[in-house]
Amino acid sequence: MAFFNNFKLQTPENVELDFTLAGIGNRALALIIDYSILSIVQIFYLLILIILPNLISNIIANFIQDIAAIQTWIIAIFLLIFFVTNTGYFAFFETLWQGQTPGKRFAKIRVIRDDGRPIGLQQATLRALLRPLDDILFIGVLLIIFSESEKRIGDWLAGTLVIQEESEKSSANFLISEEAKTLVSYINNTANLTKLSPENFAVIREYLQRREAMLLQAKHELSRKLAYQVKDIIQLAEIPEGTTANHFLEAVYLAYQQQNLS
Amino acid sequence: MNNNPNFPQPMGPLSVGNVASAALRLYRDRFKPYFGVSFRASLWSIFPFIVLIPLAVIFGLLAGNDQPNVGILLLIIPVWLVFGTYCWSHALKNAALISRLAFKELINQPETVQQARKNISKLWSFFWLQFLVNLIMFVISLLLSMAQGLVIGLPASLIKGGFAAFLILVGYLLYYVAYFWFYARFFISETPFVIEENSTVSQAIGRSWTLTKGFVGRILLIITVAILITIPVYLLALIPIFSLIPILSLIDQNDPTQMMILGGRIVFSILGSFLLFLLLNIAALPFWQIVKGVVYYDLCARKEGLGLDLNDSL
Repeated sequence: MAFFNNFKLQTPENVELDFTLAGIGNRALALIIDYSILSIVQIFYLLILIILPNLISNIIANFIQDIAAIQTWIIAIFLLIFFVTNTGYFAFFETLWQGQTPGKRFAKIRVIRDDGRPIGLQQATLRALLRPLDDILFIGVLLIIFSESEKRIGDWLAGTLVIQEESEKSSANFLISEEAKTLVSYINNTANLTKLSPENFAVIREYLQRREAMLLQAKHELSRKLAYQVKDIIQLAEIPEGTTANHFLEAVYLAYQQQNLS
Repeated sequence: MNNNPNFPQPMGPLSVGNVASAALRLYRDRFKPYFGVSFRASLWSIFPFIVLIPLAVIFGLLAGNDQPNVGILLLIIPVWLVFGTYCWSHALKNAALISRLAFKELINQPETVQQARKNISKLWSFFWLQFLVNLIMFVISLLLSMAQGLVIGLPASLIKGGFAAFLILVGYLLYYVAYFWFYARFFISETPFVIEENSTVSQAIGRSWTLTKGFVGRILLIITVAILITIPVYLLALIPIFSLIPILSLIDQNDPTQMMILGGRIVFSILGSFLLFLLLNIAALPFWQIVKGVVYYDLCARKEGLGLDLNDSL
């Protein structure tokens, strides 16, 4: 079963690009963060609004007589600032950060144009202006959930898509022990590493990447299970005495890598 | 490696947003069975209250005979409580069942509702588990409010003024932060209980505690995202109440008959909204239960390397 919507894109150069759409969860998360930031800014505005009008009107009162009208003006100006902040926040960040706002950056999603190009000021502004319409009665949420391409009204009109950022397969950032390094030549000489498929290797790599976060007991059991499986796959008669499962897996990882590099 | 659709592999750990997306997607694809189970769960949970109606009538009739019989009442209450516990166990079991179905779907071992039902023999323990978790949370909130009163309330009452108000606000904030921290730690208690064979109640609660360690922030974020997604559904329940607004301006407040009619409409609207809310709750329940299943899957993947198996990756 596919848990995330995919989107295929044919570029003019006939290259097919495959995107994973952002999904309602990531978009909701980004929205929560962006709106939290905006709320903090607006609370700050509100505090100023409470303090300033009297101050300003007192100053201006020296020149103009009708104080009540001035206060209304100040409130109007602030409402305008509210609106500009709300709309500007999204337009500004999405233009500057190539389709990302702080919330979207956190949720690792990005707005792009329907043809895969980065969005510009025009698309970002249109999306931002239509945002209130999408927010009314949560129309946007429903549209994202129920449409195949996960577009809210703003996305339809601006011709944009929201996609997940390709998570770069981070280069191996785990430590390999000295014991494992001494084991490598033994494995190279006695085992048949060609039996290990790239997918097998990927699982070993994934384990080594993720093991630090695992519970001790689970890590212990899993490393033993994987070690025995690897031993069978690469047809290794026996593992040298005193080798831990973790060292063995590290060594296989290194040996496989070296063999594929050479 | 997970990006290549030709090699369907376990998804591995999910991001906060993807937990909610995957849960919703799963719900959409399996709407019928999950909604059916949710409907059953909801029926079980209101059944004890429906039974109260004839019970009250019978008791009223008996009392009407000038013999207020305390003995019967004393008999009825414990019987009703046992009956209620039985029904609520069924409700909780059905709800938990959805989490199991979702989890099995995620590990590529899908079950039908019947199969899943057959694999869970426990019943009463579901009530016991929920009771224990609620009790723990109750004690925690009690202790927290005591601490809040002693550490912040007391000094605040001595200094008074603006700073005291600020202190009290901070006190409440800390209280809720701590409360929700514990809430997250017990969030998936019933999930391992319904998924893992031979799990006892205390093991399940312990497992929720162990697995959620260090992931409280993530879980709370997931819950917040899930709430945001379910809000539109619950908004629908307000339609009957909102439908009153246009009428309100047309009513002549001095006309008693019009006011009577308005009163009637208000009562009906509130009742309508309440019923709609119950119905929508049935629709929203599976989503929450699936979220629990996905969170459990995610934590197992992170903390126990669930899905890392060389025999699956050929």
